[in-house]
Amino acid sequence: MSTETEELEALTSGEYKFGFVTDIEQDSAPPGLNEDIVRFISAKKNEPEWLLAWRLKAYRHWLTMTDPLQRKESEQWAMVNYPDINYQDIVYYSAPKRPEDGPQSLDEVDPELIATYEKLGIPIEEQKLLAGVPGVAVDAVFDSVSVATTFKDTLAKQGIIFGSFSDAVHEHPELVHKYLGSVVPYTDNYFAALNSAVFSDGSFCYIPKGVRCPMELSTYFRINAANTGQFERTLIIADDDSYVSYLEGCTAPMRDENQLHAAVVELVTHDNAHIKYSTVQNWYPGDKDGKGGIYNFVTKRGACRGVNSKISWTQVETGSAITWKYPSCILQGDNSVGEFYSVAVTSLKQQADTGSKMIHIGKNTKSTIISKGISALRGQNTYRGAVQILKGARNARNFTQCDSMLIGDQCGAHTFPYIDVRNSTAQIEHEATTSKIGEDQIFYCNQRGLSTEDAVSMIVNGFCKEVLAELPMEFAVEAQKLLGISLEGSVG
Amino acid sequence: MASDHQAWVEKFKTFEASLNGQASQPIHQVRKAAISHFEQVSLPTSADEAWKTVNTSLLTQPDFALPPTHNQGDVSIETLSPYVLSDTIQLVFINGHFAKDLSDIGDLPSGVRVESLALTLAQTPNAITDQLSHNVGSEPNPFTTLNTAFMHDGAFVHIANNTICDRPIHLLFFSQSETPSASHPRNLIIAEDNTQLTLIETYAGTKEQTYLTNSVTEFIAGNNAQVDHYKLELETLQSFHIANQHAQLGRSTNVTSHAFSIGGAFVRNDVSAYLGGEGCEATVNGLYLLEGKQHIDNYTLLEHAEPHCPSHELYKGILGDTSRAIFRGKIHVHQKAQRTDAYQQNENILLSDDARVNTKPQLEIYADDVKCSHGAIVGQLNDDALFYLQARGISKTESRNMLLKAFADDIADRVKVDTLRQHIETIIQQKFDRLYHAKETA
Repeated sequence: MSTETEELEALTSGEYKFGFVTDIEQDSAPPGLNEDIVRFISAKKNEPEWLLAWRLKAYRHWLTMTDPLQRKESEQWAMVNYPDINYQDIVYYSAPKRPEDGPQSLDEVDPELIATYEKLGIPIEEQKLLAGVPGVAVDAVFDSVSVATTFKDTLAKQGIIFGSFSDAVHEHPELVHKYLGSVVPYTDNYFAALNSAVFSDGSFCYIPKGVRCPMELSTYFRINAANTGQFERTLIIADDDSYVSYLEGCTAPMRDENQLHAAVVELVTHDNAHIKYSTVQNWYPGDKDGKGGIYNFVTKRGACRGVNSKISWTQVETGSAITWKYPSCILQGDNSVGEFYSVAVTSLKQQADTGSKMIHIGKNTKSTIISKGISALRGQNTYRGAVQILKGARNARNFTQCDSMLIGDQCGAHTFPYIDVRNSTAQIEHEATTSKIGEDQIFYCNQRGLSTEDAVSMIVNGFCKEVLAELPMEFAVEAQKLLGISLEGSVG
Repeated sequence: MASDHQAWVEKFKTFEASLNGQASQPIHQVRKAAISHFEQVSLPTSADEAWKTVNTSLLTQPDFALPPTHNQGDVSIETLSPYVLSDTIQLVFINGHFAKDLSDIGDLPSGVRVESLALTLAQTPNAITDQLSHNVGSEPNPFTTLNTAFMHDGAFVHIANNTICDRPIHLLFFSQSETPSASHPRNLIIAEDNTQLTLIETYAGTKEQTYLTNSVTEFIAGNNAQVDHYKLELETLQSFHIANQHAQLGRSTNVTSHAFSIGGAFVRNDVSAYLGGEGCEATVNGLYLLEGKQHIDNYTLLEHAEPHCPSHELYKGILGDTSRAIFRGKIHVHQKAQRTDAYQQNENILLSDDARVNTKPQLEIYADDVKCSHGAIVGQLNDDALFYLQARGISKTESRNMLLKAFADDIADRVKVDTLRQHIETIIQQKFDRLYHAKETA
């Protein structure tokens, strides 16, 4: 047992690889939140009047809402614990300072920044990519603003719009106006309201009718500055008969104080369209005593508006001190399909309360939820999911499977599915299991000459295989490595 | 909501005044503490996580008076005959008050004490006051607090060490009053070490009357005890039934509980068990059959505090018309409770498009060497099975009946007392007949 403990400790002390800070000139707003800050952010972005009005509406609504922590005890539902957040201490806008008009090409981007992304292994330099195999178009978001987008022109030839949210506001105001807040209204929840008021940038993507996006689109988020919150907003629209695969990755420096990340992601699919959204989340998780780390409070939701449309969410959550998010699908169109595949790893003193929400409105709608939770050390992992079958959703079908694995006796794994059925033709199945790695399994591997550590890694990978198989190839490799790092040494 | 909350507090004053001499007893301090606690919390709303998706507004509609004290003369033994079980130690309560003339306690084996709680409170209050002042279950429940404030009668059962109570004990709670009234039965069952006990509870009322039953039944089982509990909730379709049932288990003790919910306009069952001894085992099963506008809410909690304990839970429901069922089951495994083996399942059949089911099976696990799983299913009768039966010349109604009966029998077959099982099967069949009748005339 003692060797196991030692190994566990060895693993937990495993370094967070992306904890460096980039020394770069920052242009920041003063900390605190009031209408002036909202106006300041809007002015910085030269936003049209309607957007400012929307932000202000969101801000005013936010003021009327109760912080989830301040709710009555009997009304609190999330399995997360954190000290009160002082919203006045947060810097709501921070951007790398750049020449007056912003960089026209990659050459003008601060070399320091390029170096940062290189360190992260993100192929931001177009040449490299062009020279290489079929590329991935990247939109990189540093602190609160989008710093570079690659392959913009290649994509534009097909009519695909991909770039920073602020550019989209200027270049395609009609699209932004039409879809912004249509899936996640600013009244949705506390953090969505906050995001709507102060969001600074993010990615915007529009796939026109009949276009199959030729490459993976990708956004990398990086929090760099201290005391800042990152509030980005992603909006993806897939018009009739289109397809896009979108990847998202994130990292942050190691800091002792907690930082808030409250993003909003909205997806819309029209008739026969398909969006595949993959996330590998690796924000700084804090140290083994729970000091520091990112609060990842994100609202992600997709609306399958058209018939036969499909949205699939795949997530690998290994970072963040607290992860609190429920990527959801609103299945409005007949025959639409929602999918959610998740691997969540909590180690150190991390907490995760994550899962999915499937709301069946249209006829013959189908949804699948596969969730794998792994808890090690003092991690607390909660699956919380909702499946709702509304009255008109005839022949709706849902299958949910949640498996949890516990490594060590200080961690916890919890499952809270909410199922609401209002139609007698619906078929709903939910199953969940919790277990630890069997001693017989480890023994079997040991017997065949595998070290215990390799055996655990093999078993964990097998446990998550169903989900990892859903990831695009480049991401799957990265995710596997991440799993390895997160659990390294926690063999037991 | 606030006004209803206040109404209960007002009613307590009336209740207090009616107690005469008892107000000086230590038990009255327990009541007063409960009502002042109730004053601070409020009645639940659907914003409360423990009452989410419950239509709590139903609870505010009638104003329930205190139950009339002495009208048991109106209830004859014939009225009760559909509920009476032969060969049992039978205690009858009318509007929450013990009715000696209607009861049949007979000769009790030595070591077995079965009496009305009012009697115990009047004669030997010290023996139980302490126990009654404790919280029942580990989660706060405003209705349990109300029960404690208004408690005056119920059953007290005590089985001394090494005693087997060979006849089942049947507690029959019958409500009959002209105006809506509330009763708060409180039952305390203590089974000491190496004991065996079967307890049956029946809740029923006079046709088409509106009333509230807010009962609390608490089991304290020592080591190596075997306790089988059955509950038949046969309230009228206009009534409100709120019940909190909690069992405390000692080492190697086995407790089983089967709840059959057939009646009631609004039913809320809190069923919990605290597995507090190594190697103990708990089984919590339930069957609910709903017609019309019935609304049922089952909230269960199995708390594993010690290692090597298995628990089993199976709740099944059939919903017709515009009925509504909510199931929330939680398995909570403490860090110490290694080698827990817990299973939980909820299955529902919807017969109508206007029926609605919410289910939320939950696992909260802090130990690593455990085997815990749960499942939830919502569906309808299998068309292939129906076709198979019809192809063999069985009418559609009969085929449906067979399939539904098979579904329900999964729970009913587990009843160990033969006469009770037959009694329950008859009740289930009557309910099915009503469900079809409604379906066919619709």
